[in-house]
Amino acid sequence: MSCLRTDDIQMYLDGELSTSRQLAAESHFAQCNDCRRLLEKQQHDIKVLMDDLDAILPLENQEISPFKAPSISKHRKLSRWWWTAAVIFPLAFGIVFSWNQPDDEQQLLMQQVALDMLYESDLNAQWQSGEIQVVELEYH
Amino acid sequence: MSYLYRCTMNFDQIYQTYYPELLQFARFMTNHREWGAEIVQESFVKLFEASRRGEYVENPRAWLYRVVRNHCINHNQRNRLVLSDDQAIYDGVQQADYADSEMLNERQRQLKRTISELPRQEQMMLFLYRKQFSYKEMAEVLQMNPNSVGKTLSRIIQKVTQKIKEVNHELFEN
Repeated sequence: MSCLRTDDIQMYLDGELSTSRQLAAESHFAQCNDCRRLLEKQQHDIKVLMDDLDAILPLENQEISPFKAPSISKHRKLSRWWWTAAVIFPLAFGIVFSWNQPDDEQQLLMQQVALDMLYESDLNAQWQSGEIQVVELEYH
Repeated sequence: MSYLYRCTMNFDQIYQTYYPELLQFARFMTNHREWGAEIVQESFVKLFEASRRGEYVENPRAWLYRVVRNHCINHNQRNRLVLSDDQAIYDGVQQADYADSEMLNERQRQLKRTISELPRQEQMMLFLYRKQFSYKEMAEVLQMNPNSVGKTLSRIIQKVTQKIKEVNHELFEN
């Protein structure tokens, strides 16, 4: 086995190498003074670093705040949205339609148009059934 | 309280066991006592809901760390309190959450400065390594490739120790 890289040594120290590679690394350390020295140096650096890290990290507070269990489930939240939508949409439609409501004059005009159409269709039916005849007027 | 699928601890036990270290992690990430506590609560609520739905949570500890990490990132971005990689992570922190800085030796002060200059992902990796996370767990929390954890971690440790040695070599000697 060739000499180990620093990341291999790191993995060896953390026990993250596969069993076969771990065994191969062990036998290499037994033979290679350079790698063994590197292993010891890296081990020392990590220990110093981890000890110092403890000193500078926020303190681990042992006071545990009580857990506040959620009272509203997601499903209920969704229902609440649907309820809101059910109220808002009819209101919005009502406002839009009342905004476009025709005034009295427009309504009268529409009624007149409808009556005219009925009258014309009635005349047409009478003519088709022969009840009335078209008389050509002569102009003098 | 329901048991999490394939997990030997129930929710209460998980809460009691991991709350302190998650709070420490959230404070490390946000630099704020109350925000940290809020984020940890939110994360446990997520786990609570997941357990109620009977969801599969293989490793609650790593799962919670991942949720806290994501919450912290979102929180910092939302509040425009993004502590940039160049910015000291201890800026504006409540001193009560840390050991007295007067008690720190020169090497520890240097380490503090060096860590504050690391990217957030690397700071988190060091934190998780200190908490004895396996490479697989670190990859899960940090959402990275498990095969690259060893190499990345080794590079960070080399970088930090090198920096401290550059400043004051004898401080690192036996």
